[in-house]
Amino acid sequence: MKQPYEPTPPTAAAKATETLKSLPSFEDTQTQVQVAITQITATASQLIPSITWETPHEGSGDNCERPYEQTDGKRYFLPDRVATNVVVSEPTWAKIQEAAKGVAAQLEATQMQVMKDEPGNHDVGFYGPTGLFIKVGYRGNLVVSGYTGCRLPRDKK
Amino acid sequence: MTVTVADIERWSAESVREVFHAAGARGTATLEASRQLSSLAVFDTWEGSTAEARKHSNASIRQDLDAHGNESLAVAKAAGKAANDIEHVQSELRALRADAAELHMTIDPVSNKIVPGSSFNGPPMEALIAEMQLQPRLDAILAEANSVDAQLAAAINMADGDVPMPAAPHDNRPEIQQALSQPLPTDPRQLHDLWDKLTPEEKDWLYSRNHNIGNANGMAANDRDHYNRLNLADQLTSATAAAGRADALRAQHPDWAQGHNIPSPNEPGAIFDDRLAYEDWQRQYDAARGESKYLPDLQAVSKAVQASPDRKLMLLDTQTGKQARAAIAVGDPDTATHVSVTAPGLNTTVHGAIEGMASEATNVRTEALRQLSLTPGHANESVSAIAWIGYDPPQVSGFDQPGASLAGGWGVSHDDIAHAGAHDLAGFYDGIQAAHHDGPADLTAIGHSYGSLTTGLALQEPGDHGVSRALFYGSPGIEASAPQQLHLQPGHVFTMETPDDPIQWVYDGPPIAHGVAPLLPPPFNILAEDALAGADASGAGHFGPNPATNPNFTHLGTAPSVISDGHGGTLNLQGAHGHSDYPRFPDGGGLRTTNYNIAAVLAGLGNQAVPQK
Repeated sequence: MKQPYEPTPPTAAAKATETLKSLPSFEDTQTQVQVAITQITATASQLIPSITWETPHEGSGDNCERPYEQTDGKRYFLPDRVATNVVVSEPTWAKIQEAAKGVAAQLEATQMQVMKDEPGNHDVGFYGPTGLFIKVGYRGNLVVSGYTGCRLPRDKK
Repeated sequence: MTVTVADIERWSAESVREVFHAAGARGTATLEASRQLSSLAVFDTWEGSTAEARKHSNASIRQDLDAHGNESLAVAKAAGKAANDIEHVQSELRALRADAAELHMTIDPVSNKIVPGSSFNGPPMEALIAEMQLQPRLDAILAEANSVDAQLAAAINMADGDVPMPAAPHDNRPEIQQALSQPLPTDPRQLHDLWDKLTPEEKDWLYSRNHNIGNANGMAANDRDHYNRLNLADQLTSATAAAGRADALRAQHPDWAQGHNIPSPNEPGAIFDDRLAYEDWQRQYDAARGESKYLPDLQAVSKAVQASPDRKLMLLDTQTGKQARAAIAVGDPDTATHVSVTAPGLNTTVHGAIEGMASEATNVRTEALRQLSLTPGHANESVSAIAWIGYDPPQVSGFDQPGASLAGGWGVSHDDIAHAGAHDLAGFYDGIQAAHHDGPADLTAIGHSYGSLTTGLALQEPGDHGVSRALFYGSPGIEASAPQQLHLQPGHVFTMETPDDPIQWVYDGPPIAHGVAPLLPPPFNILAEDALAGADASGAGHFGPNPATNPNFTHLGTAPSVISDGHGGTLNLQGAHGHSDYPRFPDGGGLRTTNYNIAAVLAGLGNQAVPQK
């Protein structure tokens, strides 16, 4: 066993920096993820007109984790958008999930992870470069989440 | 002796102010100030504790002021404040008396009661209502008057040497004034109660006397963070300067720094300047290196706390242990519905791990919030996840601290370090609960590797530490086999163990293990070989049976891919491997089963966690 948080080796760290330079800035990505979340909530609101969206928690940021921990990269979990106590039928859920998939694809978040998939209990994530994600879930409350992954701030690119 | 209304009316703020002017103006000419004070008779008409205190005062006041010029200034300050306070009390009393007169009520100066005046001719109920309105105001005035009296008595006692002069800021409240002259309470609840009553100036004064004040368990998280960040900035400045001195000294004599060309020791009759120069250099070099020893830890903590505004520096300690200690909360633990404290294991250091642990805390907190958002009735609950490196985890050579192999081997195979850490960890839990708003937090104790042993022992520390549930992963044992031993309810202890976590060799007693154990990578070879000796006799490792196979605990899954979630559905989560994956989110994104489970347990949604297959 090595130390619990072994630093990324120099070669891989240099490659990580190059990867970040090829991606949109942290600020632009945050905007893009926010737009994606808004598009999904708008679709859900069209499908279920009675929906009211809340933002019960703040977002949360950080420096980047391996293999980007030696870069100036930043990452940010946007605040969840939550509609409490809504009835989402299975066909409606399928449409919301499909909308999320399409929106996420625009951010290259095409790797799908199904965490829950049963009637009335769904939880799906779409992952993209450096961990960026769009998630939608329903367990009585409908939730849309987004995360930038690691990106370089504009002034560090 | 309690002050009465009659006493208040006799008080003369002007006379007391004379003391202030006299003591203040003559603060630097103490003989003259002493003479003037001795000639003042302002206290002669006083009753109460002030009057009693003055009996001892006159002669020794002069001696004190002669000896200590600063003390006269302190007396002046106390007298000046008392004069202001007297005016305030008397002004309040006058206002109350006027209000009472309008209602045909008056104040009995002896019994300190509001009573009907001679002009009152209404029904008894009207008098009762007026009394109910006015008496609380009178009680408040009397309480303040007693405080002023005690304050001035203390000033006189200080001046005549009956009690030592405290450097503390003055406080009208006798119990606070007394508390400031004593060590702070170590009991987190008592500390919290006291701290809550202190003024910002008093808190700053306590910090000026003890820069580690922010580590006091029971202090509000915002204040812990504030004072620990001040301490961090202070230590960073001095450690950085020391590192600069060490660099400069190394540049002066790079050969000496590498142990080359060292002048021979001097002997009687053979004293050489170069040896003297070397010894002087060496003293400075050792001192500079010693003072900059924790610079990497401080830099890592600084980077971690600055990474996001939702982080709080709950602990910073470079004095107590053999290693630096630190704890960072993500989210406010004083207001969060759910709080977790994660204790790490082998080879963890602040400089090597605090950033990674804080990142994991951010990840697991965000996932816990998301799971709560999904659950009707829980969307508005909040979460704080704390990365706690508040003890000295055993260090095994070759990875982080070269040269510590022998001590690390011992530490990893014995529980003395865990016992020492457990005491501090239990105190940290107590502090979280003492400072928590609106009743206790839903507190989850999480332990990884050797940190699970520390956590298990912390939960067995005497007393109720307010922990709701525990989660152990990659555990070499927790020295307990039932939830009750941990002061937890059945069903509230969770475990995880990956199939390929080498920690299992601690428990495996078959003869083959004796052959394989030495081949394991350190520290597992040390752990396994040592534990096997105990296992032969007891069927368990040195630290008790494996919690991950104990039927009294709930075992959660670690496996990858699409699996049944145990609730009729399926899951597609990534697997965890080895000893370190449990809290670590995959590099390329996504969730591990273990990440999902830690978040679920922390959120109090353990029923949604993925059980072990």
